[in-house]
Amino acid sequence: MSNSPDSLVAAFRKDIDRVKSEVGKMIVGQEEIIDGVLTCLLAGGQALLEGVPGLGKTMLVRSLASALRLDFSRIQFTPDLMPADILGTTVLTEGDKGQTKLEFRRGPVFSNIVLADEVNRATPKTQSAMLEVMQEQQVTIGTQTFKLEQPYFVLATQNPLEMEGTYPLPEAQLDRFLFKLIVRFPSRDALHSILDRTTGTEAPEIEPVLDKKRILEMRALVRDVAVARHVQDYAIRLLEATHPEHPDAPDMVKRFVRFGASPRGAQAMLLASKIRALMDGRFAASPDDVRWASRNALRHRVILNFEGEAEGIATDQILEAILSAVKETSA
Amino acid sequence: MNAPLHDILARVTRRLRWQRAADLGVSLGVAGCSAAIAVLGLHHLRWIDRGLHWAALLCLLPLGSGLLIGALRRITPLLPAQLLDQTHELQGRVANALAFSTLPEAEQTPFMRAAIADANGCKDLEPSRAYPLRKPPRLSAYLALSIVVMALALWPRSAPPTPPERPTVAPPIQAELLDRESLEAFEADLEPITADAETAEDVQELSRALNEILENIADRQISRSDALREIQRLETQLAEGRPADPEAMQEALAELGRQLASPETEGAAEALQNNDAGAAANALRESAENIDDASRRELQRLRRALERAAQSPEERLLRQNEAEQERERRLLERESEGNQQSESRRRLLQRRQRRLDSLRREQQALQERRRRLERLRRELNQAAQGLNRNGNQSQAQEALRRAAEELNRRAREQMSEEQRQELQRQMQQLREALRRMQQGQQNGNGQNQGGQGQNGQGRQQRLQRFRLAAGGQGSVRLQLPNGQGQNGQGQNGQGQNGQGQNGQGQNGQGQNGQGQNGQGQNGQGQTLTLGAGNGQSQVQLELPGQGQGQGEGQGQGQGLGEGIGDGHSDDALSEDPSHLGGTHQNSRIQGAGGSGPSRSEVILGASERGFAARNYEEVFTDYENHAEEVLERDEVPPGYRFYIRRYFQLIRPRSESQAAPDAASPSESSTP
Repeated sequence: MSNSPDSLVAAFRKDIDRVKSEVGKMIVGQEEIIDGVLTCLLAGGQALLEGVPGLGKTMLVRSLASALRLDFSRIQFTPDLMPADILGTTVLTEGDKGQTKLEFRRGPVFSNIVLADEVNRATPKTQSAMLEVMQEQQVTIGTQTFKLEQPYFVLATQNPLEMEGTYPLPEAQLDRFLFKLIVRFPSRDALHSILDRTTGTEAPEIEPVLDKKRILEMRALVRDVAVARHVQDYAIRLLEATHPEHPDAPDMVKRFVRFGASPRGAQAMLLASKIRALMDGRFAASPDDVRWASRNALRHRVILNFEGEAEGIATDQILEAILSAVKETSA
Repeated sequence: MNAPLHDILARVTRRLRWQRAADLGVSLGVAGCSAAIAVLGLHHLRWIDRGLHWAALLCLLPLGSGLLIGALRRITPLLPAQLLDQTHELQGRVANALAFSTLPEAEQTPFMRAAIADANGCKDLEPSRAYPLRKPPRLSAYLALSIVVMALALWPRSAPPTPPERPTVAPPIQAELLDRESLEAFEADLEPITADAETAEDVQELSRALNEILENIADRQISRSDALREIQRLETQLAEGRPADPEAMQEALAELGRQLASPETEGAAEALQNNDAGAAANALRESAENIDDASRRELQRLRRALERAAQSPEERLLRQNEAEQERERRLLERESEGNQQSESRRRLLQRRQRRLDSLRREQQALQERRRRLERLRRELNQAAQGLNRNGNQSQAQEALRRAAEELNRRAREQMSEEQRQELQRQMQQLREALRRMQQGQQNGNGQNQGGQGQNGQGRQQRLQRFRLAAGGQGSVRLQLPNGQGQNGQGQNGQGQNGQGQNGQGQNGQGQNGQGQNGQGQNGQGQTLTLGAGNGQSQVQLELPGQGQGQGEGQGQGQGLGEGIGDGHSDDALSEDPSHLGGTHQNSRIQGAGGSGPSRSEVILGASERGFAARNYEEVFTDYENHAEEVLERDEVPPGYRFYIRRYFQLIRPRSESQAAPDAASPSESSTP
């Protein structure tokens, strides 16, 4: 294969399309979510999915793992789940010759794709262990450190309805997710397709189209995508506008926002913009890409104040106000 | 980037410039045209000249400036590229390519170069689509205003307008301040002063001014406040024109008369002692005429009398006064040298200081007396000297005539002073009448309101007017059928005896001011006898009882409570409490007992009098104790405690001397 940008971008786009096509066999009407999850995977970040039960979150992750030929594990987070339950534990085992030894049994985090289902139900201690793994991508047990195999990708889900008995993720830990994706209820056409595919005799099968090596190559390619200064400037201006104390912040931000997004938000926006440019067959990210990425990248990084919470303001409304206020074109 | 793309970007940039120039030019042109219309309007009104030049300048200059500024304003190079991207859905290809192409070749990555190449490959880019030229938003307004400017510029300038005649505005009709009868009475009182040719010029002038005020009041051309202000001004002028100490002059003349006592100058001496300077002048002149016929002995007596009179007793008194002052001053200095001053010592010093002040005032009065009669004494002295020299009686006669002339001057001054006093009295009466009229208007019609006390007041005013019209100077006497005494207060319409008859009138009147009891019971059959001042005529008025009783109600209702009438009987007052027999006259005096004024009245009155009333002291103590209890008992914030205590401190009872300055500003006082 030629190493020219044209061919690299074309191959990237083709592979992504194939993955989407395979995942689309199982998941219908959630193209935005699929794009978001793939973006997180290719950016090397993690995704937080929020949606009511039954919208196919687990199925999406499972399908993705199948299409990418990656190991997959699912952890159902419950209040009694302990860090050792997800990281692994050292057990006393007996060898062939009858000798005993301590052996580390790996937990479910040792996988390429981990689905942390209802992550907000676990205690903060377990959540911290999980989020540390996400950030460091390694597990340290006693004196031993275990590197997690790349590509490593965590999809955490949380249910916005049942908040009783949950431990909402702290802002610092939310910041570690590249995207927060809102899984919405599918449209009527999508529901028809879902019913057709799931209630018939034929069960769609997903073919693995990418392997670990290719995914890592694609991840490297993402970093090569060019970003013009004005696009980067636009991302920064969007980020600044989320801070209520900033002079360019819209009135809504000044009124309802307690804390704006961290620089990780700008990193997430720019990386996601590059991936979207590649998915679109372009060599450079555009302000449109930044605009698309901003919602998913900043949604969980903008913290509302009490007035905002009391008024029932959604962070998406804040982001819409910011996107309206911050112009992408120069004066 | 290739040349075609550059060319497209340049064309978009040009469109941007044109549009901006047009927008700004038209916007400024609208403002300029508006200003030009205003200028042309002023031009047609002939307020300014050369309006056409200014209008043309205002129309063209802003437009040209706007076009120029708009065309020359900097346009970001990226803006045309971004416009192309947005309108052609190029996902930022052109803008990215433009941004990457500005980088040095070495810094360009393969992806950047690929992006530039990608942009170069874009087809069908249309500058008109990227930035379609549109009509400036205010173009219609500009065109309309331009037409107006043209029309105004072509419109012939009108002839210079004649200044409009100012319509004469009749002075506003004021409310009636005084009734016709009162005004006539005032004018009649002023007439002698105005008509008298001997009246001093300044008094004449003031009299005329007062007359003018009365005429204005009659014509309703002056408001009450203006009238009062004018009266105040005249009073000030009157006070300024008066001699500093008219009493000093009278005393000095009387003293002169005593010294002049002699059979030859008996008439002059007596007149002077009676303070009749005019008669004294005539008598002195007569004495001068009689000198020729006088015997030598008479002339000697006259000479001695004139010598006595020529000596000023004030000199001696002044010397005594100065000696006394010096003594007091030394004592004061010596006693005030000590460092520690006890209370008694301090009081002594104050007493001495007061004595010193009194002596100073006395000295000033003596000096004034000496100054006033200095010329007269000099003339008398010359006359005495003339008589001293034998055969020089004509010089003495001349000197006596001059002295008589001097006395005449004093007489005129005396008369002026009397006229001034009369004028001042008239002004005070007029002011009082205006004030009473105002009160009457504020209180409304007495009959309508059922306030019978006000009727009494009206009666009082009518009595006053009647007295003025009759020209009487004596007091009005109230004769009651039961013979319970006359108190002379009928002059001001209060007629307290009418109430004293049974005391019940006081009760009802004291509480509500209506005087119900006083209406018929006492007043029926009363006869009011008005005596003229010279006693030549008497007017008897059969007054209805209601009016009389009402007058009393007004006078007493405000100050007294219920207790007074209930506690006494008529018999007790009709008896002679001394049992001494003889002719006596019972007088009923209004007691100050009873429940007295209410607390709110006490507080209200106290604020007006500077918190110096005795009963206010009691009320204040009660209130303050209560406030302290509340402060102790309840949870009052410290800041508010301060304000409460400060408030009570401000309204604390004071002595009369402290109250005087405070009472001057009643608006600052308040009640708890």
